[in-house]
Amino acid sequence: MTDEEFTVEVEGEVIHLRGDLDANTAPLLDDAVRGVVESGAERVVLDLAEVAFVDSRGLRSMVQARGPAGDRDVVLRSPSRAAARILEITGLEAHFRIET
Amino acid sequence: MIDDDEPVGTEPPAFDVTVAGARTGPTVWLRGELDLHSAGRLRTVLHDTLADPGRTVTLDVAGLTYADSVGLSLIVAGHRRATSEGGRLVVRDPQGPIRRVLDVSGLLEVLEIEDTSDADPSDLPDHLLVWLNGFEDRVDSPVLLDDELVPDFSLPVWLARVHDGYPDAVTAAVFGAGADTGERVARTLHGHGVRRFRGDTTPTSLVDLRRWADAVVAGEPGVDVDVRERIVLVVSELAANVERHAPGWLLVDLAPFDGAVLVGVTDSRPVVLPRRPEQAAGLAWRGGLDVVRSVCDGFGLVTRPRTKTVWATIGTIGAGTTEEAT
Repeated sequence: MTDEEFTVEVEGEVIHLRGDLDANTAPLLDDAVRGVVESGAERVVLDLAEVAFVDSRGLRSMVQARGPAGDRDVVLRSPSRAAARILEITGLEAHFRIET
Repeated sequence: MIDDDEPVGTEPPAFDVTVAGARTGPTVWLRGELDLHSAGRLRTVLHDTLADPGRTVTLDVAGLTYADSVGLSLIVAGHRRATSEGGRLVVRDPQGPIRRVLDVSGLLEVLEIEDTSDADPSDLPDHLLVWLNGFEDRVDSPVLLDDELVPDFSLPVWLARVHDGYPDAVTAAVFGAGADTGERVARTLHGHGVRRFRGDTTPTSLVDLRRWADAVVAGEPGVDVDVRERIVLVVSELAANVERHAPGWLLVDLAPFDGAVLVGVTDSRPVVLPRRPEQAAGLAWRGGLDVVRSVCDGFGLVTRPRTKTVWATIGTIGAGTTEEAT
């Protein structure tokens, strides 16, 4: 949890997230993922190092980043404590490539 | 639900509707008097049970002691609707006065009647969905719901009428916790020592709410970082659900509860009950309530005429106060 505003920065195939990824901010991630995919990138990297909070809607965005068939390569890079925790709680960590 | 105080003599007329058995087609038990007052509940039940075209719905009327023209026309309408959609509405075991009125009105020929020799209206299965739309229900003991009828949380679901200390509460469903938990939860939410957040479902509110919850539980004895994060997560998930499914105002309560922390999120939509969303590609996980389930010890809901509360307990619930259902 943070007082900072949620921000999304795209750098090639890498999407840097900062702040609380929740029901209100997750659509911004969806847009960013769409942009990266449309740019022709072969994989999507989500940099979660500065994510302070993740709720189920945020998780859904990560899941959806894998594409409709769930076969797109999505890397979760440096998950923060909060991000790692909810991925573990939900068992979703097994469905992503996680780079620490 | 199987209540012993059958109306006799001067007892006021009572009416019970019970539904069970989702797998093969539901059975609806009617007990008491079906008249203008109670017809609304039958209408709701028939509407819901006949929503899937082609099903066979059994209407057990053995316990019905009276039916007026409104009630009968509902049954006839249900029969027409079912048959027009390739399904059936079976009227089972009409007795005494009900059989006579069906006979006199010619409905015995119109409806599909089934007579079973050993009909016993009190012979209900173990897993039930009890319909509690009306206040007049006299359900005093918790009932195990058929979890198939409640979106599949694959947990035993208890339902009890809450009438002690929280008089406007109609039902409390408890997922995966002991039978009396719902009632005690409702009492706790109504009592002292509750920290309350009033807000609405705007984006600002969700952030403020998390900050508030974190600050409230930060100083509580026995609440470590792990419990604190779980509480904040649950508060946020439940409030986000309100934002999505029941927009308007919301109240969030935090209260000590048997050594755990009780989170209650109240909104203005009593009829929108929690559901699991569709599965995402290849994943068992299905969304917010799965998250809530993963981090809480018990959760459930309390519905009232104009509001509902979805609640969860987080932390360790004191030994001997709830019976762990599996």
